[in-house]
Amino acid sequence: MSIPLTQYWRLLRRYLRPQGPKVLLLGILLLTGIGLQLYYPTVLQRFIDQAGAGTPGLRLLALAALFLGLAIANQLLALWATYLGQEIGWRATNELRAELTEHLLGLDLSYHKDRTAGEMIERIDGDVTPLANFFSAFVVQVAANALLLAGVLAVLYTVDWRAGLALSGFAALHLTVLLRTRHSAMPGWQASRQASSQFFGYLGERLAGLEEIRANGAEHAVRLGFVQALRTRLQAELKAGRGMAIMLVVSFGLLAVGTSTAFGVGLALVRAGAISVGTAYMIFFYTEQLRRPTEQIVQQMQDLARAGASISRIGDLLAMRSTLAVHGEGAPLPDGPLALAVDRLTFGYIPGVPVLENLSFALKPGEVLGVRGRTGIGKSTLARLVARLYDPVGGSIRLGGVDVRSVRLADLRRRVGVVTQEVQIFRGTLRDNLTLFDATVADSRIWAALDELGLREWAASLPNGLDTELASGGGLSAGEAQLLAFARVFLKDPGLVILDEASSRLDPVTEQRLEQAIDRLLLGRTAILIAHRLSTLRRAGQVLSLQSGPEEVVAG
Amino acid sequence: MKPWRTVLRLLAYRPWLVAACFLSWVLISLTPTGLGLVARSFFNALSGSAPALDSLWLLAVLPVAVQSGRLLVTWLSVPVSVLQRFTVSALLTTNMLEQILRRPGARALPGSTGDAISRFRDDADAVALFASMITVISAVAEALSAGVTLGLMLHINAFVTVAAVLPLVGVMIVAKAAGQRIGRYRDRSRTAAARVTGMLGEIFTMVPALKLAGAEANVAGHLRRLGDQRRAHAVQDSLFTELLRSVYLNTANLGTGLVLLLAAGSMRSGTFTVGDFALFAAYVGRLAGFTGVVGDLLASYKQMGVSLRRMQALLEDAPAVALAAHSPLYLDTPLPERHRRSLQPEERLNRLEVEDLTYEYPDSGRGVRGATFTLTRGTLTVITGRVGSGKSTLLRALLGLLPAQGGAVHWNGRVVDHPGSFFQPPISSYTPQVPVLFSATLKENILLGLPEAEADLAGAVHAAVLEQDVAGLEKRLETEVGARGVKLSGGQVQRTAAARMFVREPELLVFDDLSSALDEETEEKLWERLRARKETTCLAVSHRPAVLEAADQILLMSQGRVEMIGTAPQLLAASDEFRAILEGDRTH
Repeated sequence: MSIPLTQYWRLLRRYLRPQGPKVLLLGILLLTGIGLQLYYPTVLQRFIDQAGAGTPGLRLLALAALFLGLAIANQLLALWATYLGQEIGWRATNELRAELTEHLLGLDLSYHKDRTAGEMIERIDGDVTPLANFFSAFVVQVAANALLLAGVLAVLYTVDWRAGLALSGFAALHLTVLLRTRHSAMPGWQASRQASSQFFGYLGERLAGLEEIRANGAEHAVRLGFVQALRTRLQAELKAGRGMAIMLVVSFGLLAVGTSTAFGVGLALVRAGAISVGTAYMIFFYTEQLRRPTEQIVQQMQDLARAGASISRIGDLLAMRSTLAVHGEGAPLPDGPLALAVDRLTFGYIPGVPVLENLSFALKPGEVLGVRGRTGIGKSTLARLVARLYDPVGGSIRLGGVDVRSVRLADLRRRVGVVTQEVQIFRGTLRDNLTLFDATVADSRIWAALDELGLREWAASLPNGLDTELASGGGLSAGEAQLLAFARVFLKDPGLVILDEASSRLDPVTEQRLEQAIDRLLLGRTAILIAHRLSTLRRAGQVLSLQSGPEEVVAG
Repeated sequence: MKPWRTVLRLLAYRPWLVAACFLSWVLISLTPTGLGLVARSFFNALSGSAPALDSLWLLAVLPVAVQSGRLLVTWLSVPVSVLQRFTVSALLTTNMLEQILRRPGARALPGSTGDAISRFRDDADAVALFASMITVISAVAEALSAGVTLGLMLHINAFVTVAAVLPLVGVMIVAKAAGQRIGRYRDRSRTAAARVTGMLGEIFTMVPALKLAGAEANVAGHLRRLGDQRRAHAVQDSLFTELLRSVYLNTANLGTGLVLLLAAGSMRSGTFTVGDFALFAAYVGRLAGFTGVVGDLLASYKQMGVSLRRMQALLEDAPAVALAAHSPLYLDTPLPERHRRSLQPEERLNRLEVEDLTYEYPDSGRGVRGATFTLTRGTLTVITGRVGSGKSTLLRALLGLLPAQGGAVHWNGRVVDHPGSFFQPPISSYTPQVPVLFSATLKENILLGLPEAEADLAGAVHAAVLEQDVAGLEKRLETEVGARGVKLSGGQVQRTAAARMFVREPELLVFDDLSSALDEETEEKLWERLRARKETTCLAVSHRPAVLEAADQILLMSQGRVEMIGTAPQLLAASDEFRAILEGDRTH
């Protein structure tokens, strides 16, 4: 399995460029550190030779003190570099997480249908987290260690060309072998990431459905699936472990060859009278010093394998394109209520199995259409097509005279407001739950929307007003959640409103509270009301009855 | 329970794996000590302080031999260490799941699913990492080989040894003092991380809504803000750990420096040889490395403790030992057949009495107070009332999906002690207002582990008015329904959940507003078929006139209390509220 290096490079460039100065500083720090590491073995060499030659104690003490000072300076540099690396890594991965999330949200629903939220957490957080090191440490570390390696060899050449040559040979062997074994850990890591994302996908779904599991006595089925997922995970972990073991064994083996090389070279050169014992020790020390870059490189290689698996998975995600055929070029939608023209619309989720077939109808600006039919007949599908969550297989939908496929998606979604029967309340402030994180919405507008729905008193009674944190699921009843969903649409001020069974979870008394609000929402707007209850449809000027056969539009 | 006790329990689960890991690491960590001895002999021979040996060349190749042994041990130990670590993490996750499956279903998790996943994944991993060869096992092995190393040094030159080791003691004191902070920083950084995963989880459960609202970019912006908080805490957390580690590493160089200072005199006089110096330089590094290991161990112990607490918090009131309980994992043996609970004759439903049942949500203070009613075999009891009046809460508290705070439930006159495990098939079955389906086939979603041979699948599908929908699906009952059943319509999801309930043929059927996603025609058919089944007893939330009229008794709820009980005509005569509900739906 090989990972295209261009993919690495593109990611690096994209997410490191905004942090240019930091990356530069980090590079300088690491280079300085290398300089220090190259310098201090020469201090040791002088110490040994001068001690052997009977140099006065004061000179020796000065050398020892110099060594200490250099060591401490080196550590401070390393700390600073760590801090910078962490900052860079987190900033880059946070950006990547956010962009991935946005990208995935941009994919059409057919992608999301097959994925659990737990699996998505794994793919966005689980896959991106190992990249932190890849952004912050990998390039600088590999570069720094390569430089250190080169530096050590250069110093050795100046000591004695034969020592330089022997250890260059060793270093070349080292790199070749490492590069050869670089990918041995990849398949294992990939399998392990895959198994882990499936495992947590399974778990996440079950944790979300605990109520049903308990009340229907399905605990045993959950255990069974859990054990199966565990076993798959163990097999993948073992495979990953074997890949890692290869890399460990290779790196330790090379280390031993290096030590023996240093001994051999030192022995031969001292015997030949070409170098002193101190210099022989220095050669040994440098070779030992190769140990840290070696271990670092192996560590980085493992991270690389990990990052490689993640990068190819992230690459796959980023390469996915929405199946919505044409992206809107930005044809403007007219202001005010929007006309809607549906012409010979055909659509099915599975090729050859149409849900809607040859459906045509037209609404003038400000008109209200009711849609009814039995469940599963395609009422909600119609809403999704108008809001362009899907593209039709045949026919067209025109909004304000413009084909929805040529309108910019953001524009379309701003002008089409949909309330569905399922409303999610997430952990966050009431304000965020209403504006969906749009910081440009003024508080006065939020209060006005709450007023329309008679929710002002309720909101004002919350401990921190709009800033009250709602729990996940909200601790709100389905009905209250529904009212909040209406408030979301009020804030958008759309030209076309689609209410998809929007009040089916409300009891009739609460529903009546909504009546006035719905009346105001529909005022000066085109609307589609989807309901299986006739009573909801009384506002409709015309009613569309969806059946498995030809559709009919009845003037109400 | 102290974290170390939990770790010991976890290690004791598979002692042989732990022993194998320990032994491997002792061998691995003694190799550098052996190589130090080789280096000493080599340099002594080279500098002439020991008789020049013809075996010098032998010494030169010795490192390769010593390392080969290490390689073999490494190669053999990796699968063992993977298995050991995996076993610990599997044990933790299994125990967590087991505890959660025992909790009241509607209150099983204190936070979001994403947050729980973060504890299942990151916190379990953190503890498993600690209780593995990578952390605690290797640390103990390192201690052993550090002892051997120290012994060798003392043997060569006691004075220089004591001076070289002195800074290491200082480091230990620093590490101890820093412990509190490590825990605090880790706690903050884990909390910030869980907010990010929690948010991601919520984002991907509401994709259609976010797309319809055009909120993709805003959501990404929010995620950036949460990510920024996480970055600040994570950098602080790991920088502090790094700072400590750097102090440990520095002591190695400090030690080498001290050896230089002290050895200067002895080396001139020849009592401390170049070989001794090579050995000391290498061993001081080893010992400082060991101090680093101890420091890391103390730090990761604190961090592991945080993770243990977070996992414990997920389990709320479960006993502390539960997390490390020695439960079977079934990694290589099949899961035992479930012993299916069969209905005892005395459990056949005659009469269900609910008395003063109370549950109030701790955050909002709303819920159900003092609900009292009785239902008998073969009847339909309908709960109605406006939004927020406590209808769903009453069902959940009755079924033990929420822990009742007061009152009692009697089944045929006997008190139900553990409603959560009692109200399960064959006693009862339940469909919540918003049913959850899993990514599996339609059939698996209906059966939920029930053996197909023992179930009347076709009957259940028919009773749930799902047969036409199934016939229209490409792969019939084998169709994958997608995450949360998104490939089905809202009504199909609800009827699948109903089929799930029917196939279990319980004594009592409990529906929470079955009708919200069904059209009138389909719903009527469903009730018709339900009534045709023999002796069904139903408890349902609804405000559909047809259902209310068919009810044997109606509980009218208002502000958490059962306001009135009676048949539709009785309530119609006595309650304005009821009239509003019933007529409200008719007059539009």
